Amino acid sequence: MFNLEDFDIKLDTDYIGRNFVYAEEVDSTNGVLMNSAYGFNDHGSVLLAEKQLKGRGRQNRTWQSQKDLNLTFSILLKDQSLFTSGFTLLVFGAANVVAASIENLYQLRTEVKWPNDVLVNGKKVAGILIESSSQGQKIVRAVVGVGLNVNQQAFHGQFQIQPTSLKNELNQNIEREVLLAEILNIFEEMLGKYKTEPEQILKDWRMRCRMIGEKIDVNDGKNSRHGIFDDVDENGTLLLRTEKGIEKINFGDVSIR
Amino acid sequence: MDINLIKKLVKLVDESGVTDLEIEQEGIRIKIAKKIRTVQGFDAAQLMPPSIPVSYKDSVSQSAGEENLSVKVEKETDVHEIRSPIVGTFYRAPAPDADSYVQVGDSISVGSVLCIVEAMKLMNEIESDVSGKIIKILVDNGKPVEYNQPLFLIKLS
Repeated sequence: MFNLEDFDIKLDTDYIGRNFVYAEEVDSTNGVLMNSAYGFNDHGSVLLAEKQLKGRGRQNRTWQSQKDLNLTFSILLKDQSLFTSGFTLLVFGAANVVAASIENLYQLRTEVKWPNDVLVNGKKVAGILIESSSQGQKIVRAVVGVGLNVNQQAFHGQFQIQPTSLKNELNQNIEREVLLAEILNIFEEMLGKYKTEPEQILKDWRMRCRMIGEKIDVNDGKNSRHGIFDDVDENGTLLLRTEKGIEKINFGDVSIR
Repeated sequence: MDINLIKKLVKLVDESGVTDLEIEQEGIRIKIAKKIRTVQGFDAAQLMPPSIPVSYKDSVSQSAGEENLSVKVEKETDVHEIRSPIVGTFYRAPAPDADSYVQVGDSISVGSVLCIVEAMKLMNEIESDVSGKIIKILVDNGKPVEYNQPLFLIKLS
C-alpha cells in the first residue's frame, strides 16, 4: 500500500504532483492522462497506479510490473511555454531526473542509455515514454510516463537489457513514497532548468551516458547499423559515425558491440 | 512571396517562344502569359517544337534550386498545411501492422488523428486543427521529418 501521508510530507513542489491521484488499477497511466475525457487538465497532475493492465513502451512493447511493488506513474504537462521546438529535450531531462533521484537517495551509480533508459550496474531499472498530442503544429498536452522497478525481485520474460530493481541492487526494501516525492521534486527543478538553460539538460545527460565514443549497434526494428556513438546533437539525436560519415538517428535500440 | 523566382520565370518566358506558362505545385499556381507578334504570317506557336513546354517546366524548377517552390502568388486560401511540431520520424499508423490513420481523399474534422511523429522516445500524435479533405500526404511512412516541415495538405470544407 502506498502511504499518501508519507509521500505528502516529502513532496516539496509548487505544482508537480499537487494534483495527485492514486489508482489501484488502470489500463495505462499515460493513456488516462492523455485522454482529456478523464478530466485531468491541471499542469503537473500525477497519476500513480499500482497496476497497469496495458502498460506500454514504444512500438507497442509492454511494460510489466508487479502490483504494489514498483512505481508506475505519469506526469501531465499543459504549460504551453514548454512546447517549443526543443521539446524533445524533456526525453533526456526525465532520464536525468530518475537517475539523480536514485543517486541522491541510495548512492547507487546510475547510467543512462540513449535515449532515456536508466541503468544501475548495467541493468535496466527504469523506462520512460513521453506522449504528446498536437492540434496541427501546436502541442497542447504532453504526458511523461515512468516505469521504475523498486521492490520487485523476480523478472520473467525476454528482455533486450537485463532488468533489475533497486531492491535487488541494494538488498533492502525501498520506501516508494520517499522515492516518488524525490523524483517529482527534481522533475520540477528540471522543468525550470529546461526553460532557462536548456543546453544544461544534455550536458547532464552526457555525464551519465557511458556509450559515447563506443562501438555500437543500432537496431530500428528492420535494419541494424554499426558505428561509433559520436555524440548527440542539440535535439538529442544520436550521431553515428560510420564509413559513410555521420548518420543522424532518432529512434532504435542501441547496444554496445 | 519570392520576387526573384517570379522574375526568373518571367525572364525565361520572355526569352523563349512560349506564350503561356502555368505552374501548379502544392496549392500554388503561377501563370505567366505574353503577347506574341506573328511574323510573316507564321504563328509563333508553330515555330516551337512540341517538347518545349515540358522541358520548360524542368528548367524552371531547376532554376528555383529546390524541390518545393516557396512562391506564394495565388496561394489557394482554402488549402491548409499541417506541419510537424518536432524533428522526428513520420508514421501514418499507430503500429507497424496497423492501418493508416488517414488516406488521400478522406474527409476529416477538427481532432481527427492524422499521424504520429516519433523522436527518441517521444511519440507525438498530430490531430487536425481544421475540417476538410486530405488532398496530399507529403511524406512517406517511416521517413525523417524536420521541425515545421509540411506533412499534409488539406482542402478546407
